Amino acid sequence: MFWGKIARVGVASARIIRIDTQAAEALDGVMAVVTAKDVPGLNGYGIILEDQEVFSNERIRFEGDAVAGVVATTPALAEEAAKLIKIEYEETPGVYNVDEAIRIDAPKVHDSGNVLLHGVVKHGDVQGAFRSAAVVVEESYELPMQEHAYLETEGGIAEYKDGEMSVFVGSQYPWQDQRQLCKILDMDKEQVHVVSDPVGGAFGGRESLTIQAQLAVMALKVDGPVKMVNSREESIITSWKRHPMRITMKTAADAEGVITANQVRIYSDTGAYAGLGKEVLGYSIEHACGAYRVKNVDIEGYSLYTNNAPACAMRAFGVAQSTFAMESQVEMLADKLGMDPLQMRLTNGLVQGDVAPFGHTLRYSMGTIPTLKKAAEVDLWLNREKHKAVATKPWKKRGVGIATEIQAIGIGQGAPDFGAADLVLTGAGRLSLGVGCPDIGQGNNMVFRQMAAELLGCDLAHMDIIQADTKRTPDAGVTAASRTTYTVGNAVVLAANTFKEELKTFAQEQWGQDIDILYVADGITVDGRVHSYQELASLAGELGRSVSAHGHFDMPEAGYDSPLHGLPHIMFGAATHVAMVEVDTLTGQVELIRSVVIPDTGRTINIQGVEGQAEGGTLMGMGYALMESVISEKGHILSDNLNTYLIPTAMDIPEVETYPVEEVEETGPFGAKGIGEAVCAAATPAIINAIYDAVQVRIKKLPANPEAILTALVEKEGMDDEH
Amino acid sequence: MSISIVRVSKAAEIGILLERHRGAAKVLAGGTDVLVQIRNGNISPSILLDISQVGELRSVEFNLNEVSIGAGVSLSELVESEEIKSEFPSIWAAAKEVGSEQIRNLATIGGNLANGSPAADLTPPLVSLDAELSLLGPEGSRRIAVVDLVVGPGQTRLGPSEIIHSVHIPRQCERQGDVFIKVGKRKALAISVANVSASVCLSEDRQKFESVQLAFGSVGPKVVRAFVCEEALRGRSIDNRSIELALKQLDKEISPIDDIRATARYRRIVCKRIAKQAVQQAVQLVQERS
Repeated sequence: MFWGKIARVGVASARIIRIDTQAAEALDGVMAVVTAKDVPGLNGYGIILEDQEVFSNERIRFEGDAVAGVVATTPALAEEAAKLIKIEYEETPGVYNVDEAIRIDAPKVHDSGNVLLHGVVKHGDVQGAFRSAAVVVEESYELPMQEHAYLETEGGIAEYKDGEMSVFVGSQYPWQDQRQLCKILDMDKEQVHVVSDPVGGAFGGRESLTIQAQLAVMALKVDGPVKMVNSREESIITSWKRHPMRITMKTAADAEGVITANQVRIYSDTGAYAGLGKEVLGYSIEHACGAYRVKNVDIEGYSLYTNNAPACAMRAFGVAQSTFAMESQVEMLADKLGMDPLQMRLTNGLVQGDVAPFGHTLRYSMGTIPTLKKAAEVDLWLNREKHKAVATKPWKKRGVGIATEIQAIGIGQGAPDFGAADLVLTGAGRLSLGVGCPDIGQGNNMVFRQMAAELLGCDLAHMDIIQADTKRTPDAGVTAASRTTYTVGNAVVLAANTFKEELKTFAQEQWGQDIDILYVADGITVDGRVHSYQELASLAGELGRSVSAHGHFDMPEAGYDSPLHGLPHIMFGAATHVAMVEVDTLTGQVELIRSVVIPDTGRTINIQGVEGQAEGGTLMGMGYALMESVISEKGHILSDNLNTYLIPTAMDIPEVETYPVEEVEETGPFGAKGIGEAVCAAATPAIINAIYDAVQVRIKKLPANPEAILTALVEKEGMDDEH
Repeated sequence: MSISIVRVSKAAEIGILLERHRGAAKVLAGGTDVLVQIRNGNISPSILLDISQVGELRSVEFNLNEVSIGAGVSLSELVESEEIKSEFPSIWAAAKEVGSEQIRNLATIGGNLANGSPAADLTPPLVSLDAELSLLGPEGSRRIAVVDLVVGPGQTRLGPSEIIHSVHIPRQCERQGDVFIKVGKRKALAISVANVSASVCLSEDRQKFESVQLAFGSVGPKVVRAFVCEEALRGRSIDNRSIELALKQLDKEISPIDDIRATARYRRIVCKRIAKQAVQQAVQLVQERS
């Protein structure tokens, strides 16, 4: 086994003058040093726009750009050699926030300019609605850059052997990796084998390539497998991020609390490369009015290149940002109207058959109202005044907040979106379910096995799963967009039902057309006699016959003439969060004391899986609300480890209560929908709304860390330092 | 590239070995700072002297005039000690606030001090309690005050072959009370944004401050005593007014900076607030003790 290491310049904007690899190559134990000239095919990648170089040839666009790769016999030697690579460069002016990026005379991150996308959606007459409104709230919100902080840093192995490149790197979509690697390596699909199993967390951060491209180019050069594992610092410097955004909203409501208009401006920092920057902005625009019916909208957004770390997909993809802004707006509107915040949400919540603010009709089930109604019944909301009254110290104040959200399920209009599954009776008599979309920790493998076993009436123990392997499993699309339970689950259902028919046909071949078949725990019964899967497999083996089935499912589309590619979505998940915080008015520290999550699962397939998602989503939303922020200076990340990039620890975890509601989706597998993202975004505004409830300060710039809270408290009370 | 680990069994050997391998050897107690520094390339010792098994560095003795804690006593051991908790609640609280359970199981009181961090949680309580250190080197031992150990960030008065042997804290009488408060950005694994330790001694009638000692962490290059505030409290009645009045002087005594964790402004505001809280709580503690 050889070890790889990447050499970088360490600045965010520069022009490379010369790369000298001699000293590194001369080091004993160094097998190869690769640069841009060693890339056999396209020196570029990206899910949509291939604007990121595998190895930088001339320009450095962000701190994490790879310039060279070293392959050596040990990790220590690879690291030493990487330091010996001399990169001569000249720093060039860069842009480090959206204000700098959008200037006419701004330095260009890419030759095409700094605007990746300018998106506009307008309906109705917002100005007219503002004029006749009972209340109008206009505010500006700032959202930080968030790190996925998955437990497993990017790592894996690549090997080039007998003309075939095998890449074993945790990712969310092996076929998408394969497609990009084929171009980079100038190889056919048959020559590139990608396996993504297991995956140590992803949250969107492994949707695009991480280290695969560099690793594969290194592996081409040596005779043997090459392994590379990013340190946490390398991970934070190079990995994809959640888009930092500035969102301004002007929102109006009438005297009854009906939201009549929303004017929204979004500035999104996509960093050095496109990633899914257009799509994330699209989601932010589509979800700008949150879970509500709004007839008059004027929404406009820019996705801008900067020399910051590139942003791409992250759980609640563009929705976390919009939801925070809109759920703050609704809270302020309710406050101005003297209206109960839950009632305000019930008044405006989208229902099936409504026309969405984007303009299309919502044909599928909508869970907003049921989750809100459930929230009204839970102890934390119902008895909030009682719970708030028992703060632990006189200077600590408690508050309870609520927020709701909808989250698109599926890739969106015009984008390929399908699920696929194979179900095979193996020679050993096992049921083997093959799906191409990796389980990234959320438990979809278990859900697929349960669905198939349920339909076959067999013990779960008979059902194996193989996943995410371009050779052994069917392409089932990406593990993202809250899509796999619904879309791939439907394919699993189709495969299992076909498999049952196949099994019946096989039995009829053996025992006649008129037999009576039952599907039982260990196999089938034929006219009352049990034939185990082992027995059936042996029989099939003797006859040289296979028993298998394939399921394929295409996601429905909105069928709406959209101004923005990939939009709109037609299916949505929903969740409502209720949070109780305790604010220390002396220090500004906030503790999340209790948290309630009410997701609409359609149908709960696995309650532990739902709870796990709800708890994880709450924590991610809590981190975003209270502490997470990638801190950088001119594109140089200062918070490059988990001692400076803070995420909640086990000690910060509150009691999370999960109460799923089931607004059955008739087209879903067993009625189920995805909840992976829906459980995340509303956690943030629920906490921020709870802080307001506790101490009457409204935090519009995240994170609401102790300093932000204390500064707001001092401002509000006009307190000087003499408190 | 490689590091030899030498396990030492007697305290007296440590100084000799450090002397013999000057510049090459570094002491390894819990390793929670040293290993991080090695990984980050801040230090590159070729020998690590593992002192974790030296028995005499691991004892806690309650003597008539002072409590002596071996430098190798882990923070978990301090947290688990009922005696420490009841006599020196500030030390107990500070130990409990360091890192995480796993870190506290390894980290030692000596290491927390010797690392010389201005954010070290154990330093403020020990400074406010007038604790002293026994330092041990090849030429024998000497005693210095804890407050004199650290010169600046990461820099101490330890000689090149000297180690901290033990920490000595004067016994507390029932008129004394001490409280530690830390402000971190989360509930575990949080480096202090600011912290304070207050040690008060009340008059016989419990109505006045006989003396107050205030030590602040993370608000300057090293832990600082607030002598002016302390002086302003001496002989004053124990009401909030005197505390607030005294703390008006605090700004002149601390010199916080802006860093990745917080701004200087926040640290100034919060220090005043937690100091007031710490003094009030210390007074309360004495009242409860009587």
